[in-house]
Amino acid sequence: MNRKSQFLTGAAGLIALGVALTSYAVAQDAGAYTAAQADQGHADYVAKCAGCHRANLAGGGDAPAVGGNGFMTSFGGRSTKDLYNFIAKSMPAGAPGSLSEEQYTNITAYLLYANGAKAGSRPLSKDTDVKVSTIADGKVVADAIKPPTLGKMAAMEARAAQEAAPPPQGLTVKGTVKNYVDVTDDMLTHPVDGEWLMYRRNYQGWSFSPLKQITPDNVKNLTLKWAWNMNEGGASQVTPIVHAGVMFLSNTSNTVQALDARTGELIWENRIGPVSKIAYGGTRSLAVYHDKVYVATTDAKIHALDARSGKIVWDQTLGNPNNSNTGGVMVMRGKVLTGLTGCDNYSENNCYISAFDADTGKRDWKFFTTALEGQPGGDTWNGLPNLLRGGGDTWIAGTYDPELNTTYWGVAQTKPWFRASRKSGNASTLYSSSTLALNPDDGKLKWYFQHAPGESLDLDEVFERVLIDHGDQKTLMTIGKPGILWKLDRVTGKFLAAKETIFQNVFANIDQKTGAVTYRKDILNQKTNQWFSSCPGPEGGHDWQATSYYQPDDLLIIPLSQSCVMIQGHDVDQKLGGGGTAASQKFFFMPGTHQNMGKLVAYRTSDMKEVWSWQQRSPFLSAVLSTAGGVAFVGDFNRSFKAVDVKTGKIIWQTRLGNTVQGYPVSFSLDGKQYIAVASGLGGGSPQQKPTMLLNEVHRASTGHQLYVFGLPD
Amino acid sequence: MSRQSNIVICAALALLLATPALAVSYEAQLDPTPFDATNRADVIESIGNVTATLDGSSLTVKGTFSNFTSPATAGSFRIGLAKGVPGDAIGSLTVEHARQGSFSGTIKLSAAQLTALKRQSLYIRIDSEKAPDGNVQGWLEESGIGHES
Repeated sequence: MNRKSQFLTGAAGLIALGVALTSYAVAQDAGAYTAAQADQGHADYVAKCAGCHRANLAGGGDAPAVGGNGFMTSFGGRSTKDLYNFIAKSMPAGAPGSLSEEQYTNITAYLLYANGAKAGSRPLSKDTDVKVSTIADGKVVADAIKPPTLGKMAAMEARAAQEAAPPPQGLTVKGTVKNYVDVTDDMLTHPVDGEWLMYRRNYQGWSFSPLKQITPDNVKNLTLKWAWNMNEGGASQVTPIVHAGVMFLSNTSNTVQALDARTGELIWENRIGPVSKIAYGGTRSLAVYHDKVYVATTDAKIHALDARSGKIVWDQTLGNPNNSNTGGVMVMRGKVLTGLTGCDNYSENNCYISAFDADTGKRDWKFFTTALEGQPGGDTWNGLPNLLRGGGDTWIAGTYDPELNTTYWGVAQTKPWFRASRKSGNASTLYSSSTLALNPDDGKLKWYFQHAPGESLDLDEVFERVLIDHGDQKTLMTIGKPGILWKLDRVTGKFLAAKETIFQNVFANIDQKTGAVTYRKDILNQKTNQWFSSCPGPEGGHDWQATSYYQPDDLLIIPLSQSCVMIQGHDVDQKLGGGGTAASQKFFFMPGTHQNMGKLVAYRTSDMKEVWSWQQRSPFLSAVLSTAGGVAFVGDFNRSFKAVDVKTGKIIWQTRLGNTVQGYPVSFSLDGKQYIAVASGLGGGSPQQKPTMLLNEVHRASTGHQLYVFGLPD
Repeated sequence: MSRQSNIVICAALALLLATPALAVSYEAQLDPTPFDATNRADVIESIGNVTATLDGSSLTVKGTFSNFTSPATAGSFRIGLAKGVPGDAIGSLTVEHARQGSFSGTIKLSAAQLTALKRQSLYIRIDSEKAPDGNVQGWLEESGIGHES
């Protein structure tokens, strides 16, 4: 190269460098949002989003991470416009579109800032169209996840005060339950026909009422006797508990009420708090024992209230601040048993089932549902340290066999959902996705059966364990999100049978001798950041909407949902506070169902044969209640509460409620008259999210937590 | 056996031999492809139907689609690992370039592809301008089975 060429090359290089530097400066100045937007967006995020996605952006429950690898995997290749649209059209969960355009824009700006994008002078708008990966690198900005400054917090609180005055807390309505009768162990073991003393009415988890006044012939005459508006906000998935003419009711925001079951008159109310911020997880059930009502709250505490007055007698901490409790409580032999949820982020706490002395609140025992290092089952985690053993939540209360003195619990999957994300290899990760048989006296494990070793697609096997006897054979039936109905020997844990109740493509084979499942080969060979089909998806199959065992005909009546997802696992930070569920999802109808998301089916449990089934467009969001009169009740996403003839499955009565029929219907009697109580409700994870996305024609109000009590005409 | 009987039997046999093997019919409803909040509006109302006939190893399909938010651009035969699992294209369809219309096509299936069809792993996908990676899809099932009202 001659001198002239060298000069020209150097000049060109300098010019190119100058152009590049100028472009860089312009790019810096032309940040896609302003600092003021991100600042305001931080406040909006804390107020509206952090309850699910967490203040550190790590995600939790069904809410994916919105910071770091998870964010970049989902949105790095998409535009800021896509990000805005995603948030504005689908968030907050359960109330999409409920924020202003300015709020959505600010939250979008905040997420860009938190993921490393630089602010500039040009404000972000809903039409700003810049590829996210060109401005953000996914390195979470430390300042972005610090708690808001005092000034910012004050501004947030001022705005929150403008929106709604914080409700009063504590014993807000004082009164006394007259004629209350202490609940004994014998009453729990042999409940009187007209009462509903626990979650699934009996220890065996049947959701079956022996009352027979309401029949297929007269059910058409049901009329509304009284109704009651419940707390709004959060997720309502309530089981009314009825004893001594009183209905004890758990509301969102951890409020407990005692109502006169005849009239709906409020007797006392305790707003224990805190006010619900997490969209997911209603308090599914209270428990009553002796002179107390027990409630486990969404801030992972357990409280004993005086049943007569509602005053708190004792309370205890269940877990750490990230934990929660939604599954409710059960009382067995003088102990209050409850699970724990919110175990998706890496924590030194791990997840466990607890037992407390019912009288004093003293904790008796803990059983860790993620087997720890050095303990039995602890070698099934591919060498991961205890800190990285996420999940194992117990978000449905267990059942109990008094004769065997054994309590049965389902355990949810490992977190993060994908084994590629959590780096557990093909290890089984005990005791995830298992049935546990525990001694309620000391929490010792009697046996376990793992339904889905090393589960990867958010397909919980955590739901109700129903205890059914066939002659001398004592069985346990359960069904999880894959829609496989399992039958186990509940004395030994031995596998007896498995039946696919809906289409599934997750397991290539289920060994009918051992119950061992074989995953589809691409699931076994998974990597992060790849999409996988899951039919059913995280809605289930079967979800928390529990079955009912109609004992006279040996029928297990099961509400099922039919939807699929494409699901993609993300890389996670393997450190304290990291982890999370760490996945993105896309939704689609289950092939071959003609877009019928709801399916109700009855199986005879002795031979696992289907007796009847039918499908409908809308999935069921309530549990099933069956009654000895031969009528079963169930409600759906599209507000329809239905009665069906248990022998044929034929719909014989239906009415429309104010919003989605959600929770656990119960039956009780007073003064010789049978009643059906059912709630409408909003909030929750996949069972709400999937039909919200897939059923375009269903329009629901943004409020509507309400209790309805039906009966025959006087 | 009389001469007349022999003639009748021979005629029946000749007719039987002359008749080709019975074709097998398949069908599917075409539902929206997987979506999230960003592209939901592009596909959620889209719908379609397809019928198919397998004659030997030759699979012929015809169908219709409607409620697209943008014109259809292409269609394909595809095979995944199982029903509900997306996979690669094995052949193309002739598609009307409109927001509603019809499509058709024929493909000769290999032995492995015939097995995939029987296992319900073969599906039809129609693409559109707004949904170039799929607007509707449906896995073929033998007619008269697998459906509940």
